[in-house]
Amino acid sequence: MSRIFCTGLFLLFAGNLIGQIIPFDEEVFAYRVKQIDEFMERFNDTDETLIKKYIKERYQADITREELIINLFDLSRRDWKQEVVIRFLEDVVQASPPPYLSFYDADWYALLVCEGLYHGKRVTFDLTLGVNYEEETQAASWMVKGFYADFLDMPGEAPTGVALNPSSHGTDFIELIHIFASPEKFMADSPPVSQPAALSYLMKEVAQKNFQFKHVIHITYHFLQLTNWIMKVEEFSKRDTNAGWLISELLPAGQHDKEKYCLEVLHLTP
Amino acid sequence: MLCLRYLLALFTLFPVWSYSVSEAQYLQDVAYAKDGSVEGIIEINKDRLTVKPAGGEPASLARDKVYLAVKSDGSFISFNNPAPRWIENTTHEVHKLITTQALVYAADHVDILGDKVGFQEYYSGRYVSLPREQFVMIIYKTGMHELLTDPQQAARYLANLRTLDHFSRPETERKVKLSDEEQQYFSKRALRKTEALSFYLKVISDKDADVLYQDNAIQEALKLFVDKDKLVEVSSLHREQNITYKIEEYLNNLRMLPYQKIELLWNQIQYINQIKQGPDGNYYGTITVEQVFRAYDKDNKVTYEDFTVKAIEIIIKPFNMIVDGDSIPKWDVFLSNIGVKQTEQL
Repeated sequence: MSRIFCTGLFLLFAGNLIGQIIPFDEEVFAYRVKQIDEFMERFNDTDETLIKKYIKERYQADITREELIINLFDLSRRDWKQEVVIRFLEDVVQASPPPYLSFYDADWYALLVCEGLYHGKRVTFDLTLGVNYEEETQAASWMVKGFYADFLDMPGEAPTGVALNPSSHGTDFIELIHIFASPEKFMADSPPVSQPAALSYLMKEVAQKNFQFKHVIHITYHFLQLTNWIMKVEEFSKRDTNAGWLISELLPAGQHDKEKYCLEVLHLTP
Repeated sequence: MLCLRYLLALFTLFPVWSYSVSEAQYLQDVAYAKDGSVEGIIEINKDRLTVKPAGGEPASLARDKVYLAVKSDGSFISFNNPAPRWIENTTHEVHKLITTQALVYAADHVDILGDKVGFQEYYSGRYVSLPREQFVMIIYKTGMHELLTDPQQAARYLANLRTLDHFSRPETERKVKLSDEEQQYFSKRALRKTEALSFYLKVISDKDADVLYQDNAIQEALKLFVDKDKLVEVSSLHREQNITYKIEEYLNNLRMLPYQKIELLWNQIQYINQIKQGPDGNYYGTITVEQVFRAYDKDNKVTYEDFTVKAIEIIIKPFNMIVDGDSIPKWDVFLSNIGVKQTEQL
């Protein structure tokens, strides 16, 4: 079984050779990282994750956390820096205690590139969503944390209480259509802001019928909770065994780098 | 004929009254004696108990050699009681789970999973999972019963039970996270509803189906969803951009498709993420499934086919069920937004 994952390691540095697979290939389905939750399950080496159960049943074999993580990389990318990847694997697998990812962590975000019509013109804008978790009730939701729209000449602060259900990421936040159609239904009490905020302004433009949300164009997830690392994860829609939500970028990053990343990439104000 | 097929499919898709059937369930009266169990029609005299098997010779057992007798309707008598009497099972709306504490839990659905008994509690609708050792006997809605401990011990516990008409509520800690068993149970329910949806979609798009029958299928399909505002994303190999419809609009549009009939095939393997609680108290999850869509013309030729990966949001939320005029809160799974993750040629 290990051979399958060694092949993964080979492909990480040599490119992807896997071809087209016929419909309803259980193996392809099992291997595909179907949701970001499954990405975290595999990263954490969770016993119940589908791929481990599948391999156990099909091949009567176990796989290691290292093997699982190697296969979370986009193996079609040929320019992975070997020394960086190996250092990352050492940091994750050999650390004591080893780091784990949780859906309820504070330091990971979904960055959505969205399309809309503003005064009849096609525009794009970025929404950064993060998970809000209430310790007391153990309830979670996706909240807008950052916003950037170059067609609006105002700061990108996101003071609204727009909340989406904690599984909205499964359908790539399709529910945003409803939020932009009637934002008042989804906005919790907004904290007072000291300056005009772009997203609030945009929501008002919705009410004035000057803005219409169309759809989410692209989503990337950014994991900043691992010490010294930033992982960028995006979806690769192809029918082979290295597909779904995979690591597309891996950046060694100290605290200062992460703060800069939050500001410049994720539009998060300190 | 079509209607019968419809009813059969409904029954297959929603076996609401299903329960686990094991070899230890009995259709006849059973007397559990020291020398083993005897099946037949039971009659109790002063000192003896007669069991008449269908077509067989009656067996006469001394009462002090019998632990317990259970009738085919679930009524039972424990001879561990100094003054034994029949505890009648008069109601059959729920499965009854009898505990070692002589409590009776009412359940809609029962699963025996290894050393756990999982059941959907009738009054709250919550799925509860408790150690098997806490239970003595299950009396199913049909009257069939199943002992979960040996007959001698069962008789001892059942001797303390006075009625089957008073239900207790299982005391479980207030949990905001679903247990693995609950997660499994609701996942299965969600998958059944997904299958039901594809059945209705076939009916709605079938040009040979009666209009009233299609109307009914639309109404039934809508009931699977948490509300009519939920969204369905539709993809096609003929266009780059997916289109999003509200569910009702989507179902009505299906009738207008230029196909004679459609076929939906689902991959047998699915993935469901960890179900999470939202701020509104409901629970949310997403199922990822693969689907093959085929459309046929009048000559039964395939005119369009594609392969899609779909993401189906589910919501587990309480709803009120009216039983005998009373409103009973229950939990169930509803479908929510449906997204398309990938569309390809076959």
